[in-house]
Amino acid sequence: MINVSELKKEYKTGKETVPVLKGVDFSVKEGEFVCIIGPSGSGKTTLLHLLGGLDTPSSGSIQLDGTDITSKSEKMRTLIRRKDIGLIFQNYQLLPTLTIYENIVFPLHADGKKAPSGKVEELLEAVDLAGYEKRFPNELSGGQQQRVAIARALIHEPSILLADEPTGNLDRQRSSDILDLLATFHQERKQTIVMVTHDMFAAGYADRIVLFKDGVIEAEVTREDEDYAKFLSRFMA
Amino acid sequence: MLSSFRVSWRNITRHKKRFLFTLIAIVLGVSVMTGMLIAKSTFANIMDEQERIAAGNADFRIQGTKAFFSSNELEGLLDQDQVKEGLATLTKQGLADIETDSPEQATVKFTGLSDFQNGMIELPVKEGDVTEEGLIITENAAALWGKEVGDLVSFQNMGSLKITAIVNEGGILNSPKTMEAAQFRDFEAIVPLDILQEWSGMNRQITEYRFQAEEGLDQQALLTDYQNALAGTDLFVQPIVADTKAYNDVEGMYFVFDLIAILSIFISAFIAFNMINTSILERNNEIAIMKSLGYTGRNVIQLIFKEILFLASIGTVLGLGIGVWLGIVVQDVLISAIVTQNITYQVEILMPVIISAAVGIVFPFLAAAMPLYKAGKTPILEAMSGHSREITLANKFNLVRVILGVACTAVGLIDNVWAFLFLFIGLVLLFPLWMKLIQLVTGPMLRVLFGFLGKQAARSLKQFEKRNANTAAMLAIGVSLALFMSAALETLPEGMEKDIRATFGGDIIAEKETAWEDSEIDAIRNMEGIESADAYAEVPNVTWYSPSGELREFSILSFEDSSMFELIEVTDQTSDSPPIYIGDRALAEMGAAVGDVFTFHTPAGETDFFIKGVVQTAHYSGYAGFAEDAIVRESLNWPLNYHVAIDVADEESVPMALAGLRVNYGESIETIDLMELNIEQAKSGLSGMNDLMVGLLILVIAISAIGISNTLFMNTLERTKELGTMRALGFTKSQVRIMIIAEGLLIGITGVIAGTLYGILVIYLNSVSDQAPAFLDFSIPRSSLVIAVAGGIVFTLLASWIPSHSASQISIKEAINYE
Amino acid sequence: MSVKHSLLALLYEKSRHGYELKTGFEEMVQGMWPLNAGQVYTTLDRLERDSLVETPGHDKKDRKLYTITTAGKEELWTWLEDPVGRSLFKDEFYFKFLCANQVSYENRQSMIRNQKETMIKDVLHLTHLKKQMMGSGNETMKLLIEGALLHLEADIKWLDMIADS
Ligand SMILES: Nc1ncnc2c1ncn2[C@@H]1O[C@H](COP(=O)(O)OP(=O)(O)OP(=O)(O)O)[C@@H](O)[C@H]1O
Ligand SMILES: [Mg+2]
Repeated sequence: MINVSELKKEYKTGKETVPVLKGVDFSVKEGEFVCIIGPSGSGKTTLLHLLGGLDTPSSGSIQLDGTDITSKSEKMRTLIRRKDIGLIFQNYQLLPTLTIYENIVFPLHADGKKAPSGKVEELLEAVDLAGYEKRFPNELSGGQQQRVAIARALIHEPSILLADEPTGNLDRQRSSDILDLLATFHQERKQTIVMVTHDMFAAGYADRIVLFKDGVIEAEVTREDEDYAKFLSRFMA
Repeated sequence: MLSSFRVSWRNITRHKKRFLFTLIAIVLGVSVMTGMLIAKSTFANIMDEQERIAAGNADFRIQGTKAFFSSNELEGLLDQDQVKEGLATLTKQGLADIETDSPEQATVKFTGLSDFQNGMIELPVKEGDVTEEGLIITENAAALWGKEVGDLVSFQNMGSLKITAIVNEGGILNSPKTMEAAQFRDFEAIVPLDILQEWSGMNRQITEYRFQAEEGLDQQALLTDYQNALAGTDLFVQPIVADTKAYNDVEGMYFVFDLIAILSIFISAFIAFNMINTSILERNNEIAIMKSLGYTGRNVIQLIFKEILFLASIGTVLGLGIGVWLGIVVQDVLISAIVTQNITYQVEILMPVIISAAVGIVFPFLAAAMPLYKAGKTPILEAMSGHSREITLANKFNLVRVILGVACTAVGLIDNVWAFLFLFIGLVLLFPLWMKLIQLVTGPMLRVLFGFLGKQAARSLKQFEKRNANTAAMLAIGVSLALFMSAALETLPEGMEKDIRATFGGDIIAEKETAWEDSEIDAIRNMEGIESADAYAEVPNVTWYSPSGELREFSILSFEDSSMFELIEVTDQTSDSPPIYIGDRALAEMGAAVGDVFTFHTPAGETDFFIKGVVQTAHYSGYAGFAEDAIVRESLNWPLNYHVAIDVADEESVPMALAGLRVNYGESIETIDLMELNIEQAKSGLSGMNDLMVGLLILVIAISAIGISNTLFMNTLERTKELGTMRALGFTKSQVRIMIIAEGLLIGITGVIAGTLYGILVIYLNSVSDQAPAFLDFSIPRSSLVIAVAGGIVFTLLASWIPSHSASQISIKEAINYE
Repeated sequence: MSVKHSLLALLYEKSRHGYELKTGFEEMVQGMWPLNAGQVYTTLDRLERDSLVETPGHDKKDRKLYTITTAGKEELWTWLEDPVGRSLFKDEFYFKFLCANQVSYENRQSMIRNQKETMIKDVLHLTHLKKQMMGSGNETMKLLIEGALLHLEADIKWLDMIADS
């Protein structure tokens, strides 16, 4: 599903170039739930943005379903993104002037499509926000907004869901709700999920955990591994 | 659901006040433009219509060099196959038999028509039947005389006739509106030719014969034929031309209208630009989210495009409505200031509305082109994290801006009536620079005035430097225009008076039906109070072709010494062709230059003249030619002088001189023109325009002041959090208010200072320009300075009021949570 | 311990024989607390001795059927109503930590690390369990897991805290 090889990314700040990703090889199977952990500033978000085609790498390749997106134009990347990728950001990023309904159907709208009838309601039901269609984002709590963001990331039934600290600033109970929701979708729809998190409890939902450090993958474990817990306890706060 | 206009509506009205003010700016811009266009095209239409009516449907006219000629002379000349229809007319003075204070008030100028059913003269019927032979008078005459259709009117020493029709004032017949006006003007009436001939004992005599050629004939060849046939006689033929430029000097006014239309639309475009640009910057983050969710650059542009379309459409529709009203008002003022008769006219609305609608819809898009492009290119990640590349871009852009600004300023210094618009574009581009300079002075000033608050205001101005500079630049344009125009209006009457005095030729000009005899001139010279009297000739209806191939006509006046004009430019060259001096307006219309040889159709047929010089003259506002006496007599075949220019000893002698003229020649005097009266009329016409212009200028400054309001709204909105924090830390509401007003004042004063400097520059450029009307000297009237400066500052204060109020109302709690 | 009361609760539902009680219990705790038959019978004997249950007869396969008595019901209610306080030393690891400090145990850090690892394992296990139960509709159990996870979160935080001290 996702195949990343020799991925490098550097930023230019003034005269300096700062290498952020220093050669990442990484792949995700279809239907897999992968979690990326690692210290702050290690390049997790950068990787996720590259996967979503929001940015281009300095070198290396990213294949989504066999298509190399790094060689595509911004427009082509947008077209791929609007079809196959659902994005969830740490700080919800809802559009303030659109109603909840309009926010959710936005990815479909961008693609020139209309939501099949009942679909938004069904999603809202699933994220436990039935009846909120007409409200505006600023009338919702943080957890509710994040759930809208999840509904929005799922409306176009993307095959890949990329989530950057989706529970980053939620309390335990709320984040647990959100993660349960993601897990449900993962089980029901067999979506491929890549989730960046700082939260061990969130990591617990994944099939596989990838540890990022200093722009490279330092280690990986799968749920079946013996030293899964040891691994986690070493790297998580 | 999303594609609906509801979302666009929500987006543009997100900040209600800003939306409202931008809308007002667009509405005003569009309406001023519509108004100007309507006034201009309606006025042009009236002129055309008047010209058309005056020319009628005839193609040619045959006149004599003497006032009258016998219609027998035409016999055998006119080929029946060539003339479709002909009309003989006789013009003759008379006196109506009515009670008046003075005999001058009863003077009537008759036109005798040989045929009342001709297709060549078009009369705007009010009552009665113009095809019925009888007396036709105008509504003014009917009112003053108290007559109706069917009433009998008698004329002294002539006879009486029944009124068959009353017509509206217009191109053919015009009568004074009041008895005061009648003192200097004739009533005009149409009577049957044979009756007029009989009344005046001028059997078979006519003044003019006009005719329509059969269709399909080569008119140029026909003209040459007739010119040849009439060569050597005292008759001559001229094509009939619709050209009233000699009587209406409207180019200057059109220019001002165009200028105001362009500037108002320019300023409101800038306000729109400021708002769209800000709104796009503000929504950087949202745009980035949309892109991350699958919007392409094009989708983003479409979205914003729709919003602008919304704004532009609403603004344009409202603007058109107000503009039509404004146009009608301006039109009314114009008609009463320039056209002294009350004439009926139709307001020309369609084209102006179409043009303004197109411009109104399009210009916000032009203004938004840059921001739109930027919006499409919004980088997702930077925008989402709140970083912005603005700064680096701005630096690069700044250099380009300065270079362009210098280039535009250079173009603006070229001596051309439109080039100085570039000066203003240069002003806008260079404004951030001027702003920095000027604020070296105003900054400390405000600090003294407002203390810490002033300092704070100056600091926060820096935060949105480009926007503030643009806003101040708009005000500067308004102020400099106001200064220039009001200086022009201030010095214009004096200049005109000077001009008329210098070139009128005498204190009194009298035109007689028949030529002045030398003995008569001598007699006048000997009359009491009269210093000098000189007869001169005026050759009417000299026709020629403009560069675009249109026929034009003017008069050529004879001169002995050059008291009727002032030389602007003269050449040393000589030519085989006789020399002629051309008035500046005529020369511009001819598309010729000093030193050229130009062909005219004159009483002597087709004649080449050598343009010896260009002159400025009060006669026909410069739409005339001048040739020496001898040349008029020989080359123009015009031996007689119908005009006399009289100088009196002093002003008190004028009535005496007039009385003397009337007593001696009253019967046959056609017109008497007084220099003083001319000056008075010119001035009063100007003062009517003056009010109009002041009104329009205030409108232009008001539009730029709206820009200030809008900018302050945006500035305070972006600093909501900051202002809230200040309030939380102990700033009072009124401190916030003063701070915002100080900010507005800084913008305003900067604009006023730069505007004043540029205004003075424009006045100077104008005074040294060859292109501009020469009566503008370099002077800066104090009153103009006061109007421009005080107007700018007062409008700034007004414009800062509402934003300062709403800034002080910011709720501390909400402000601190504001994203 | 509360095996006693769990059995009372199961019996309150309906009369059961010993083996049924064992399987009923295990079902209730989702198999996470294996109970051997001996423990069931000793508990039942004690309950019968205290007259909280009685054995009015046998089923068709001749197994003893237990029923709850009125006193049993009362005991169940009292127990349910009685709030549970939290003693500081209820957690065994607290004691270990106390003792380790007492003897200046040199492997204190690894002790803490191991404890944390175990807890993370528990977290993982519980999370997995929760994920598997998604859609099963056993809300009570989900809530228990949620509660346990919350405890674990606090415990892990505390472990991080003492590890740093
Ligand atoms: N636009 C940028 N310009 C320069 N450096 C950047 C830019 N964006 C990110 N970086 C740098 O790249 C590194 C990786 O950033 P990234 O956001 O991927 O980290 P992260 O692993 O997601 O961290 P966190 O867990 O704190 O979110 C950081 O050191 C950051 O400073
Ligand atoms: Mg990150």
